Amino acid sequence: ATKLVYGHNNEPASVAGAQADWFAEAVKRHSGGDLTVEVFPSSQLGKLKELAEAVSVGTIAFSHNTAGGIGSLYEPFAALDTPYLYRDVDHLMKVMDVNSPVMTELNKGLIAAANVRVIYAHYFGRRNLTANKAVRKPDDLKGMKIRAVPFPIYTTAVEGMGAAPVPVDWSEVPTALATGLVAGQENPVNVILNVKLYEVQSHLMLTGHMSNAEVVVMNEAKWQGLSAAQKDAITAASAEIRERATKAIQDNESKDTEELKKRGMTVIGPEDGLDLAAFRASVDKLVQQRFGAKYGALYEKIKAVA
Amino acid sequence: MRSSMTERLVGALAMASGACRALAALLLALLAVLVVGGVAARNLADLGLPWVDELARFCGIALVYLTVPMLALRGQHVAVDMLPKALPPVPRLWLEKAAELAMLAFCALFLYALHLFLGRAGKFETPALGMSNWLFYAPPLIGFVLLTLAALTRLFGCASAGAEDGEIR
Amino acid sequence: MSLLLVLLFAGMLVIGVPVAVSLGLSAAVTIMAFGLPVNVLAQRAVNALDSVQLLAVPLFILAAGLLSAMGVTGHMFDLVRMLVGRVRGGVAQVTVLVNLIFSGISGAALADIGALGKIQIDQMVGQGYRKDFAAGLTIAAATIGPIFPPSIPIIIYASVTNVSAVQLLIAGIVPALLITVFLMIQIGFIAAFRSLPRDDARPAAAAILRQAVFTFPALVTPVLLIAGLLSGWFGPTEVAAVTVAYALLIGFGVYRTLTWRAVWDSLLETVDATANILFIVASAAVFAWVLTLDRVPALAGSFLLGLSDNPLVLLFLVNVLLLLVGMVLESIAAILIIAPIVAPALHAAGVDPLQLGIVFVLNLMIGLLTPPVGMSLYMVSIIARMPVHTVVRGCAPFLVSLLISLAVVSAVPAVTTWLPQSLGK
Ligand code: NA
Ligand code: NA
Repeated sequence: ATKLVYGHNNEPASVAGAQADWFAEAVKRHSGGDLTVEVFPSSQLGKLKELAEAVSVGTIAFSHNTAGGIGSLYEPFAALDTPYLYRDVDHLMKVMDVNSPVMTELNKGLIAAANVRVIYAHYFGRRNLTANKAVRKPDDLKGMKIRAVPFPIYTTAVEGMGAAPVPVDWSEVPTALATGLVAGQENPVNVILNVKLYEVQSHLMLTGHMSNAEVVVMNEAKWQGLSAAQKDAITAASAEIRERATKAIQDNESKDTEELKKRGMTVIGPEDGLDLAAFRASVDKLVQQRFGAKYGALYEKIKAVA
Repeated sequence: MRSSMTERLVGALAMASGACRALAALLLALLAVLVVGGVAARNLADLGLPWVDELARFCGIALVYLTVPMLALRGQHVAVDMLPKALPPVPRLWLEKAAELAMLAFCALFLYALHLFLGRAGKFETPALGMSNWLFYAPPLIGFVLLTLAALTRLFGCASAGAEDGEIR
Repeated sequence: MSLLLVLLFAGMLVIGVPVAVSLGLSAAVTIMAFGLPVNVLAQRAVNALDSVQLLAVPLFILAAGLLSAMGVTGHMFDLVRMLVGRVRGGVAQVTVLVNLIFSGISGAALADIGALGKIQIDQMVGQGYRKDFAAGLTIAAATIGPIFPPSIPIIIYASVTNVSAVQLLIAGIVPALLITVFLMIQIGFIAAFRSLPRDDARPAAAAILRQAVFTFPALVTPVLLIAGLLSGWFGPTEVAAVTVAYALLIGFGVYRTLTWRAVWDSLLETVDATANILFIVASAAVFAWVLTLDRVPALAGSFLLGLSDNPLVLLFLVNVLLLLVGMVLESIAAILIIAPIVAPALHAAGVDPLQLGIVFVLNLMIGLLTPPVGMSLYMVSIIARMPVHTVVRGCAPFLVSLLISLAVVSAVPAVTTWLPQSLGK
């Protein structure tokens, strides 16, 4: 029997955290108990960037991260987090399938560069903007400071939407919003609900400016060290959990939006005058300017996935 | 002849550690400037600067590892010295040697670990500045090399016996 | 695995191996012995320091260092003594109040003792107070420092438990005032029964006013700092850096007592103190990694929750545990090892994270004055040239005030949670 360690940064109660436990259970089931995955949630074994590197050097076997985070191991992955990149969740899931032409190629590069393999990826949610006022078009964000993840592709999204991106450590975000250090932030609705951001933000704008996948990765040497049957167990568990987690997130997305409404947030969608086309055009322009040369070919391949 | 050679080496080590500590002090000044600059940029120019954040964190890590050798050379690392102080001179000396040996063992294992880690992860880059891990981990590397030498000189009793009571800071 | 780890650590600690090395080497040996990946040693030790919150540690130390270097502490003491010195036990009361003011600048008990201890003890002994009383009160009053913001142990606690550092710093304000009040009441009682000395001369109003005007720019520092935290204009690290800038401004522009030489010395002293603390933080991260992999936090958590699910009972248990730990373990190391083990379980049981944080830190600050391992005891014994057991005897009575404060903070969540929760609303 083989024991493998899975470390991640999410709380076990969130879907992103729970899916690691589901995966551990599925691996055990599919391998008939021959393979055990031990899960360590809540950054117990290190923070995000550190976890990605830990998989690369073999400190731990598994972790998960955003595509942007995997980009610190192999740069082209960051392109998968480009704002307004996917047509819909179905498109995202097809691109992120380990057997898709895009993913096959990226995975080869990741293995060569970092000794890391993507074993599956699931839909993690659409990022939406929150603030203490109604925002309907890029101009409304002019001069507003919005908390952004300190990766170039994420700050570009916020900047493209018309705001000034400001880095704030995640543990300080609720306080920073309460006190006005930043005027808003952007995250999937489940995060907004779990961290109770409705206590400090009045408006939720369904900008959906970025669709993210959570990418589950494994140390390549550990993968190659497994027997064929063990590899099969992981592949089967991956296929199962990828669907289950995606469905759970999608189900929660509408439920969570309703819950936020109930908790007093004003939700602004396209039907309330949210000018999605303007946001998309403004963000696309900046993305092309900054990343067009680097990722242009990859963007075409992603578009071609049907 | 031999002793003057040793003296010169110990002198060089003390100078290198002192230079690292001075560099650490400069990095601390830079850190303060960066953070204040970040505040100013955000409040006066509506600018968020992720690279300032990252560079500041790099300064913070670097200043710790660059100062650690000097603390060791002067015996200033926080330690619980109740037992050694209660003992007569000879067993006390042995405990002090044991403590230096422990420091040496820790340094050796740390450097081995750093070698393994950077061999694999050296080429990865930080998100905002694209700083390579080789640069990011250079201060710990330098710090631990000097720390190893500091432990060696103290183990063989070459260090100037200053600041023995300086543990509490 | 954890047994080997803890035994190695304890063994090395006792024979006088530096705390950071005891933590790091015991972890390294365990990692080797059980065939765990060795590179984690380097990776964890460096990444544990890669945190914006921890940057507040050197910046707060630097700010306090600069303010001390420009000589304002003596003036603060004089001003408060002019105001309060004439009550019975006046200088003892002044000691507590000056510690409260200085606590708004400095983030560590040992730094308070370093900056104020000598003046306080000299002034009290000079006026006829017993030496052990003076030493004991100096140590007890210094526990206010790391509870009132800024606070290095609170920042470190926040960084290992993922609690908001701003909120936790603000949560310390009311408990620090509570300790101040309890200590002053206790001194009042002692003054009545043992007829402690008092100042005779009534200072002229003009002199008080002159001293107040002169001290004003320095007295404003804590106000600026707290206002900065409360307003949300800055994060905790930024508040620290802005305080440094303000200290430079008044040091060069107002008092004109600061020199570039003194600034350089403050920078050097700050990197020494920072490296000492954060080297322990780095090694403790590796130590905690081994404990985590061995499932110790999870086991300890379910053990605790198995004993009771009542938050009050759990807090009581944690208090007992920490008072014992505080006797034998250095405070920062204790936070780094125990907090990740205990905090998740207590949060799950419904204990407010802010309340737990302050209970935790206050407890370990009390540990600074409990033998056998009490850094404050050692430090005062050095600066007052007094044997440690005399200092311990002087401290003992003031444990009453500190333990009552701890009991109140543990029993009444609002003491810690009210102020941060009213933030921004
Ligand atoms: Na303080
Ligand atoms: Na103690």
